[in-house]
Amino acid sequence: MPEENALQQQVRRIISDAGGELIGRIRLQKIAFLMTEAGFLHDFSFEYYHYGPYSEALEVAVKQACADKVISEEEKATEWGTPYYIYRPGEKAAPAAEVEEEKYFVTRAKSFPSVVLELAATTLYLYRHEEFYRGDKGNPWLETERRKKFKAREGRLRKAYEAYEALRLLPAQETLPEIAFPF
Amino acid sequence: MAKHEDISQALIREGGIADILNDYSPHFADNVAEILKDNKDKQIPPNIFHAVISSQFDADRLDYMQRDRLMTGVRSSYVDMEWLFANLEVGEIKVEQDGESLGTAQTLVLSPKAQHTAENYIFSLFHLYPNVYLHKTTRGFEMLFQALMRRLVCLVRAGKMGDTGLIEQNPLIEFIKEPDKQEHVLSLDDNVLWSSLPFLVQAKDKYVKKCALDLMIRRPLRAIDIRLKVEAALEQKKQGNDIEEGSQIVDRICKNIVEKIKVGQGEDSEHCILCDSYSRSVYKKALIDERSAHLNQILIRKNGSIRDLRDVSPAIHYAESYKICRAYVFRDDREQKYTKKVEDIIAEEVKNA
Repeated sequence: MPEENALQQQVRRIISDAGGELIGRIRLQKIAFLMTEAGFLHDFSFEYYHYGPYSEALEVAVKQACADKVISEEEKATEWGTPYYIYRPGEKAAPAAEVEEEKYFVTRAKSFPSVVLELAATTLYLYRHEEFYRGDKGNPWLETERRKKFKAREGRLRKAYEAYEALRLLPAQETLPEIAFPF
Repeated sequence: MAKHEDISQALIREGGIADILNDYSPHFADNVAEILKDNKDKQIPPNIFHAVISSQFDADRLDYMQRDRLMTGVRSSYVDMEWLFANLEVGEIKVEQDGESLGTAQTLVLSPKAQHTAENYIFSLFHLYPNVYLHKTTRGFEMLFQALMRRLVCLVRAGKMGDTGLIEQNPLIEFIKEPDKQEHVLSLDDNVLWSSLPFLVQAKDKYVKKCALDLMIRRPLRAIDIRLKVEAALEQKKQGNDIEEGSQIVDRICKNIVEKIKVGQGEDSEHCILCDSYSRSVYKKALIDERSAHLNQILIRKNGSIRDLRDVSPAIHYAESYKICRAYVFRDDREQKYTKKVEDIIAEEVKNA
């Protein structure tokens, strides 16, 4: 088990890779999951939760990193009043060592809408961790659509597939699997 | 332990309730049970029916606040339900994630004419907490019941079922042994407890005997209002003039006091001082971490847009939470050993504040 401080530094690294600013708790979780699957991160374990793959250890590390000022969390609200959060390096952030391909991966992932990342990460989770590569379990994209009907509508499932393909073709420590799109 | 959502689903899908629902429409029981599902692939946002089942304006609250008011004889907390229902509409709200729009979803909305009735509903429900749900005597008996259950669980798990006074077939014992079994949960009701008390009073275990006897003869624990004592002491010390700052100081001191009491009692299940802390907000702010987000809120149609009640009602927006922090001691503490212990800890913590 890595030290608490090491986990905080990894959170700091994700923010730094994202160019020093990352919007959204869900986006942060999904990027961390995709980074883990692509071999850039190793210390967070994920399980399936309401918004798809989720790491409690990551959430704790984020809270701790905020408390220790390794990163900062700014609460904002949309016009409608829904809160969301912006993460930036904190006052006490040590400079993060940069790995070019990791930085490129995170920057690209960050450019997609949060819900698109959620759908892509969910599909990858189903494929890798719930055995949706097996023919008898069905196509993971269809399963994602079933589980997230509202979010998958208005062409967002296709956008998620395109986003996943864009990330899959980037250089990474471990190649992401090809997951056939059924439509 | 068996989850209450699973138990409710099982009750709806099978038996008498299912027959009534399926008579109304084929497979209707399954459709209703589906809404109660709380598994990980539950849809986000949930549909409009979830707002009826679980929100700050759900059917359960609307029902129990009327029932509890009637049964306890509380004369305040009246709500004009007819007016609320007459002004209930279906509206479209924006669904957002990480600051980005995902489209719209349907939910329940009140017309502007019901704004003040909705405010009244919120405060009426809130006032039931100090008046009924968090009343020192009610909570005292709850503490007593919890202490009894904790002790029974410890004894059964330690293989000392014989010390409980109950037979192996008692539903309480069956539940403690196999808490995951739905049939054991369903067999528990207030009759089981009341009819078990005369046997629990005969228990070899002194703590079980004491708790059971107090429950049976309705002898309440003695309440020591820690929060009130801390507030009074701070007022004398002229600390915390600012309401919010003062409340935070009181929170901190109360937390320290409760921790000290708990540490002093150790890990065993025969606590002589029972602590009770609770905070009840007037109205919960929408949180992105909650799956239901806006479906959990009370929404008002106002000036062409749909607004959260909290944003149109300063009274609700700025209302403080109601908090309790109490210690309870048994009435057999005749020399007031434990009462004194609590009071010493309070005095010490206030002094150090």
